[in-house]
Amino acid sequence: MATTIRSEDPNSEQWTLLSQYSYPIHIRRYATAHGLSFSDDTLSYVAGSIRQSEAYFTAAKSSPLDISPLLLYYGATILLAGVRSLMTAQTPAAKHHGMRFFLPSGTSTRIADFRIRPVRESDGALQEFANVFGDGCVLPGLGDWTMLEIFSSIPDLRDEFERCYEPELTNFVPVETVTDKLGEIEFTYHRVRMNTLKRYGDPFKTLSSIVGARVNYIPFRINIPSEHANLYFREKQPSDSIYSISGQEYLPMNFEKNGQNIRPTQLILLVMGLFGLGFLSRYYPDRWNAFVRTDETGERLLIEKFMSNCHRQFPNLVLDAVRGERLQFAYLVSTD
Amino acid sequence: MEIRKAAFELCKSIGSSKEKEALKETFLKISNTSLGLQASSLRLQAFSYLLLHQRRNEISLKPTALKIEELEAKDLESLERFHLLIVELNRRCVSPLTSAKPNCTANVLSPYSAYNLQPLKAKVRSDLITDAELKKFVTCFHSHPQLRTAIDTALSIPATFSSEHYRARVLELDEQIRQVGSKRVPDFITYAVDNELPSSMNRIALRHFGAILGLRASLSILNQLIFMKLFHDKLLSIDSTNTIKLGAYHFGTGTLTVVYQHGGLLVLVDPGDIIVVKHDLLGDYKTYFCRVDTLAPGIPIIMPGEPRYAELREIDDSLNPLARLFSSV
Repeated sequence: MATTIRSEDPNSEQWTLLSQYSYPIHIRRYATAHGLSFSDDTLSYVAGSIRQSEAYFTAAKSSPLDISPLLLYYGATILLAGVRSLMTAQTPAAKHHGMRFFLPSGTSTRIADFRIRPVRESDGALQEFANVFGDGCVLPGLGDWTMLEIFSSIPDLRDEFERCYEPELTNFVPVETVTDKLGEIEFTYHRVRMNTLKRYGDPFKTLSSIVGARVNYIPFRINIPSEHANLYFREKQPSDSIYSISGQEYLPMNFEKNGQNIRPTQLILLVMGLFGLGFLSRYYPDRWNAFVRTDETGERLLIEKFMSNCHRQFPNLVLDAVRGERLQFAYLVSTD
Repeated sequence: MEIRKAAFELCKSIGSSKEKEALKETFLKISNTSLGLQASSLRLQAFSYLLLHQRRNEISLKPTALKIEELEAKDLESLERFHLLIVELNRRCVSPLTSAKPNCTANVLSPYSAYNLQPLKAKVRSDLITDAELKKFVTCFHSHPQLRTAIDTALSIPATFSSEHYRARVLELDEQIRQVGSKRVPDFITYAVDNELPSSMNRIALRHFGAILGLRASLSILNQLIFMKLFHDKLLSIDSTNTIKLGAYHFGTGTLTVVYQHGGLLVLVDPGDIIVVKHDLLGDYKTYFCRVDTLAPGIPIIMPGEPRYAELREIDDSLNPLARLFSSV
């Protein structure tokens, strides 16, 4: 369940909530509540990082696509570093981005075909972030991630992704959380439309590829034909779902990397995507400029949507991590 | 040895004889006939088939009823011989009580006492269970706590109370228990416990009838276990692989409620069946043996994979599903 925050301007509201941690008094309160102890240096690091990241996000918003990915990557990585320090009371030890960028091997000019390789497990920033904002999975050594894979994981890009990269499909399926009552027992379960599953091929295999499928749900029994596949929780409602900005729930699917099923969290995927676009625009201005100015494939629309999504959702996801709950910003109209 | 374990051993002794296979074939053959479909709702094992078969002509006269076909002589004989075995087993199990209280006849204690079955043609019971196994089980059943209770409280019932009175009273109480459902204690028990001293004649008589109902229900569970053994080697189970949500455990009646995912083997669960529930319902991981009292929705409506609600009455070590209900009497 999400905590709903009513706001006419979610972007500004989420930064107001994050910015409280740029004040020492709030950082100390957080420390007391979480049994942490901050040195003066760490405290200053947290406060400075959060202020700086907001400035980068603001600058990125008003900048053209030529440079905005780099600004947003800086904003995102500084925000993660600052909040990581807030949550662990440690300044970062990373000496490297923890990622390397690779151009497509063939003649492709699609942004989707650029690759990111997580590296340097011990002193790379990406793994340092994954240790706090991920589920502890070790990313270096598992191979490369294409930008396509990253884009396929962002709920708000769903329509653009399927239009732009047809026949590729997103790496998540929309799900409904249903509450039902039989006899005296009220119970909640997940329900996925069969039509959605069929697009991926074998519905059973698709459901099996959902993150935590075996752990979170009792064994599936799919009745064909039927309109939905019902997924019943083993114990409590699982927390692996991902959400669009508007709060639509999706079940993420695993990626197979080096023989392992893995699914980085949304924050980690977004920072990887931003790294890719930031690196491309910074170090390959010829390619980036050509893309920004002359793209005829429509991929630019997806990139713009990705940027806009990061701008809005990234701070929201960071805030969720700090508060340990999902915050859903909503503009609710009173019916009184 | 506890009676439940002895019952499982008795079932195990059925093994895979020729007679068992023939009997199983008979049941499967007639299960999809109009006789089988109507008999399954009575939940009284072979007795249901024999009863409806005997009444087939009058049932078929009803405008809404499906016509019941006459059974082949071979099938009828199989069913009759199997039923005679069950009747004999039941009769021997309760013999200490029927000897001590002659008016409390084997028919009063029979799970089939609500119906009158005309005498059967077959005279020899089935050999599905050997006499030695039968004896072994019956000896164990004689340690049933409700047999002792029924005998000890028998003095509360006047000698003028005929077997027909007994039968009517037992059926009346049974109906009242059925009417209130699995989760509620009937008013006649609550009233007696709240308003009468344990030493009062009324409470003693209620303990007596509670014991009779418990014995009758234990025999019903035993008969159902033997019947189910013809088709399955293992009891079906509700466990962490198919439980959607456990409801409450109703201490007063020994009933637990559960929503489970309908599908696979559980397609075959019907009200009256015995199943095992493996759960940490009351803190400890435990295996509960239960009788399925209520299932919703019913089979024609529900599809595999969908949720199904069940009310399950716990069966104690003596096969008694009513032990908790009468424990405070």
